[in-house]
Amino acid sequence: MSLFTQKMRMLTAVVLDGQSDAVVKALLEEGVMDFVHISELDKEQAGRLNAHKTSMNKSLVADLRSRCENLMKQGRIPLPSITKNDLAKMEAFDGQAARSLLDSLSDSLSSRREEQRSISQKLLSFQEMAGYIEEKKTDYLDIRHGDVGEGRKGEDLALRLAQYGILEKDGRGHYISISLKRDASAVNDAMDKFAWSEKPEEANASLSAATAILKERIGSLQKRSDEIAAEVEAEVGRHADELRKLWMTLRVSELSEHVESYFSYTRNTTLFSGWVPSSKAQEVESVIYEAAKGRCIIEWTEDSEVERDKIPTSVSSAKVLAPFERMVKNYGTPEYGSINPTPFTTVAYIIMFALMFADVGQGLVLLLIGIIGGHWYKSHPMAKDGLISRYLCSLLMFLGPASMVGGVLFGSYFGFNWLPALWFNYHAVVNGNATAGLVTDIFDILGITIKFGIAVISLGLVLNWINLIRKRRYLELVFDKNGLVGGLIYAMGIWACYHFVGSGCQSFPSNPVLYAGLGVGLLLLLVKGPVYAVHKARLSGHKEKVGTVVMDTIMDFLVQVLEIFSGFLSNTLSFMRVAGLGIAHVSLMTAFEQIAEMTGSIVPYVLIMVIGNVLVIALEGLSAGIQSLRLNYYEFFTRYFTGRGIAYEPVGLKSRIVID
Amino acid sequence: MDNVSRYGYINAKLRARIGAILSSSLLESMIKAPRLPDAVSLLSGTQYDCLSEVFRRTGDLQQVELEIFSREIKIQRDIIRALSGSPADFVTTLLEKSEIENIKNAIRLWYSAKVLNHSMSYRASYIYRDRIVNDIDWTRIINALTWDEIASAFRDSVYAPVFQTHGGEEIQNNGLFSFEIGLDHLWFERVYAGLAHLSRADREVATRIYDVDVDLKNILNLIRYGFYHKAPSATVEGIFIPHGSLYALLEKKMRSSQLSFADARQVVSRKYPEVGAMMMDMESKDEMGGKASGLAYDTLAIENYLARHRRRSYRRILSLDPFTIGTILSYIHLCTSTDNTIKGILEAKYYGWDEERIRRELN
Repeated sequence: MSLFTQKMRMLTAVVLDGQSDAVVKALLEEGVMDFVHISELDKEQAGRLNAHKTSMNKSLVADLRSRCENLMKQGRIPLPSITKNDLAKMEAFDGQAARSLLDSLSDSLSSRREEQRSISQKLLSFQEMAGYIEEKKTDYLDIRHGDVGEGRKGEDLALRLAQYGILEKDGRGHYISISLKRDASAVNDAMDKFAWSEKPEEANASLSAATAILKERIGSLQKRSDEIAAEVEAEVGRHADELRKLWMTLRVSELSEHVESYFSYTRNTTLFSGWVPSSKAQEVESVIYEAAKGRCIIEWTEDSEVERDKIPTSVSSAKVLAPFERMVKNYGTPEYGSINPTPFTTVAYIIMFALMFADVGQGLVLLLIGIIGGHWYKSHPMAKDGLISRYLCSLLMFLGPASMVGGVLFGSYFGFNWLPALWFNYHAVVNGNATAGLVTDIFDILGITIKFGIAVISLGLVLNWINLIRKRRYLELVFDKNGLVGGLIYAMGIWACYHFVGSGCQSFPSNPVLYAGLGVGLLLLLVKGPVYAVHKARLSGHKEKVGTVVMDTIMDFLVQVLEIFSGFLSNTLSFMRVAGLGIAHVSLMTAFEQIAEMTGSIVPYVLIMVIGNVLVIALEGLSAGIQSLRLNYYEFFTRYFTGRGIAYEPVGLKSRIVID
Repeated sequence: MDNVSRYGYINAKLRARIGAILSSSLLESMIKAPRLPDAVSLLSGTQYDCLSEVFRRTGDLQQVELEIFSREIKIQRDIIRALSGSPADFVTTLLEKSEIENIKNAIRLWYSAKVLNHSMSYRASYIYRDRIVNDIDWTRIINALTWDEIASAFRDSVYAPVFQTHGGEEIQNNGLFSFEIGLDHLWFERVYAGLAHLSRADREVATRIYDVDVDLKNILNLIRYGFYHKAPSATVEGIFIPHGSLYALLEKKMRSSQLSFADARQVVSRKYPEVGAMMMDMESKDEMGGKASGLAYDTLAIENYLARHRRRSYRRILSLDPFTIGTILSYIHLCTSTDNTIKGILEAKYYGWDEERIRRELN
C-alpha cells in the first residue's frame, strides 16, 4: 500500500506486424497497460500512420457472448477466469461453430421449455379448482361421480375432458369428474357421447375425493416442473466445458479487438502506447520483448514530461481495505501524484462509526453477520446480492469490531453496563447519572465530537497542503481557502471560540497574536486577487485592466471571507451529529430497557430487549453508517480530495470492459 | 402544502428510477436474441429480473405478461402512497385504466367461452385477481354463466353506467366493441373530472398531456374506423372521445353536416400537419385502388408517428418545472411504454418474427 498515488510511466512500442498478435496476448496476460491513442500524443505523427481497421464482426461476437452467458446462467455455471494457460491453448474464433453450438443447445432446451409451459398451464387450471375448494367457493366447481356407458372407454373420455379438468377412477371402480361449472355445457356434451350415468349417492364423498385428486395432481405436476428445471440445468451442465471454452474465446477476441483499436500502423510495423505503473515497467518491457522475439523498439516517457492532468491515477491500497477504497472511488478519482485517501478514510470512518454505534454485543452481531454473510456468498458465488450485500458483509467485518471497541470504551453490552467503561459511561452520562470523571453531561460529549471534527478537518487541510506542495501549486498553497490562509483563519477561529465558550460566552481573547493572525489571514485574502493577476499576466503575457482586477479582488475577497467563516464553522459543527447519533443510540436502548422493566417478569423483559436490540442494530446501524459516509464525503474529502483525476483502467484478462 | 414539499420526495425518487429504466441497447439486444428464452434471459439482473424468474419457473409467456401487469400496478400504487389529496386521487383515476384493461380481458375471455364456445381452461388464470382500485369480484366475473351475472357484479361500481347501457343481447349480437369504447369514454370522463380538482399548475400540465392523448386516440379511431373499416359517420362520431383540442373543431363540422373523412382530415391538418399529409397520401392511394396491405402499412406509420409525438411530449415535461404532477405522469408513461415494448418484443419472439418486422412494429 502506498501513501500517494502510484508513479506512472508511459510506454511507446514499435513491433513488427507479424508479432503484434503475440504482443496483444502478452499484454492481456499482464493486464497492466492503460492504452492511449497515438493521435492523442502526437497529432502530426498520427496523421502519417494508418488507424486500426477491424475485420471482426463486433456485434456478432458480443451477441454470441451474451447468449453464451445466458446459457451458462441457466446451467448455473460461473463465468471462468481466463489464465495464461487458457490463453496459450486458445483456438481461433470460429463464428459458425460457436453459433451452431449455441443453437443446438437452445434447441434441445426449447422442447423442455415447451413441456414446462404445458405443465404450468395445467397447474394453473388445477390450482384454480383447488383454490375454490380452499376458499369454500365450491359453487364454481362441477364435481360428478358416475360411469361411462357400456363399451365406452373411460380413458377416452378422460382425454376429451383433459382441457376442462380431470376424469379419474375412484377406489370403488367408478369415475369422478372434476371441472368448472363455466365449462359445464362442453363437459355435458362430451359425457353424453360416452353415455355417462351419474351416481348421486356418491355425492357426499365427492368433495374430499376431488381435493385429494387435485392435491395429488398438483404435487406430481410441480414435481415434474422441478425435474424439468433440473434437467435444463443438467443439459447445460453437460456442455459446461464447451461453453466455458467458447466464452473464453469470445471474451479474448473482444479484449484483443479493444487493445488493437488503440494501435496505429506503418507498412510493416505496429505502434502502440499506454500508461503503466512504474513498478511494473520493467516487467512489461520484458514481456513485450519476449513476445516480439526481441524485434521491437520500446521508449519510456516519464510523468514529468507530460501534463499531470493527463496521467491516469493508480491507487494501491491493501486488499483488506477494499470496502473503503470503493467509498473513495464512488466519490471520485484522486489527482495524479496526490495522497491516497483510502487509509485516511478507513481510520476516519471507523472512528466515526465506533463513536456513534458503540456497543460490544451489537458490534458482535454486526461482525457475525459479516462473517456468516461473507462465508455464504463465498459458497454461493452465483447468488445475487441481497439486502445484506457482499459489500456490506466486507464492511461489517470492520464496523463490528469498531463498534465492540467503542462498547468497551463506553461500557455498553447490548445496552447494559455489565463491565465498567474504560473511558466514560455513555449511558450514565446521557441519563444524567454520571457524577464523576472528565465527562459528566451531554455537553461534554458534544465537546468531544467537536474536537474530533476539528482534528478531522485539520488533517484534511494538512493533506491538502501536502498535495499542493507535490503538485507545485504554491499560490494555491498560500491563498486557497483550504491552503495556509484558510488554515490560519481556522486556527484563529478555534482559539477565539474556545476562549469565548470558556468564558461562559462573555468575552473573546484579548491576546494580540489572535488579532494579528486574523489580520494576516484577511490581508492575504485581499492580496490574492492582484497576486493571481500578476502571475497570470506573467504566464500568458496578457494584462488585465486595473479596474477589473480591483472589482474581482473585492468580490472574491467577500465571497472567500464568507465561505471560510461559514464553511469551516458549519463543517465543524456538523460533527455534532456524531454525538447526536451516539446519544440517540443510548436513549433508544434506555427506552427499551424501561419498557422491559415495566412488564415485571423475565420472559417479556428478555423479549423486549431482544426486539430493542434488533431494531437498534438495524436502524441505528444504518444511520451511523450513512452519517459516517456523509461526514467523510462533505467534511473531510472537500478539504483535500478534488476527485478530478483520470482513473487508471488497464486492459487485461480480468478487465470488466464491455465492448460496444 | 406547497408544491415543493408535495412533489420534492416523489420527484427525486422517480427521477432516480427514470435513470434505471431499461436502456435502448438492452431492448435492441432483446430484438436480436434468436429465441424467446434468450430474449427473456437478457432481463435478468435488470429491474425486470422477476420476469426472467417467472419464465425460468414456468416457460409460459402469458405468465410473464401477467407479471408485467402486476408490476405496473405496484409501481402506480407506490406513487399513490407517496402522494396525498387531489394528486393522489388523480393518479388513482389513472390506475383505473389498468383496471379497465383487466375488465376488458376478463370479459373478452368470458365472451370467447360463452358466446364463441371456446374453452377457457387455464386462460382464466392469466386474469389479475387482486384489488386494483375498486372492489371487483374477478372470480365471479370469470365464472359467470350469463351477461346479467357479470353486470350484477359491477352494479355498485364506478363502471355500472357502462353495464347499464349494454345488455346481454346487444353483446351477443354485436360483440364487445361498443362496450369497450364505453369503458374508454368513462375513463376519460373520470380523468377530465379529476383534472378539475388539481391545482392550477398541475391542471395545466396534465390537461396538456391528456388533450394530446385524446387527440391522438381520436385520430387513430378516425383512421381505423372512418377510413380503414369505412364505418358510417354516425358510428365514427360516437367513437370520438369528447375532449381534446381536435374534438372541438370536429364537433363544429359534425354540427353543420355529416362528417366525411376528407373533412376530418382537413381538421387534423390544422393541428397536426404531418399527420394530415400522411392521411392525404393514404386517401390518394386508396382512390388509386391501393392494396389493403399497403394501406395497413400507412396506418401503422401514422400510429408510429403519433406514438413518437406522444413520447416526445412526455419527455419534454421532464425538462419543465419538476414540482408538478408532470414528472409523475411522465414516469408512468415511460414505465408503461417500456413494459409495452418488452411485451411486444417477447410476443414477437414467441411468434418467430424477424428483427426487421419487430423494429417496424415497435417503432
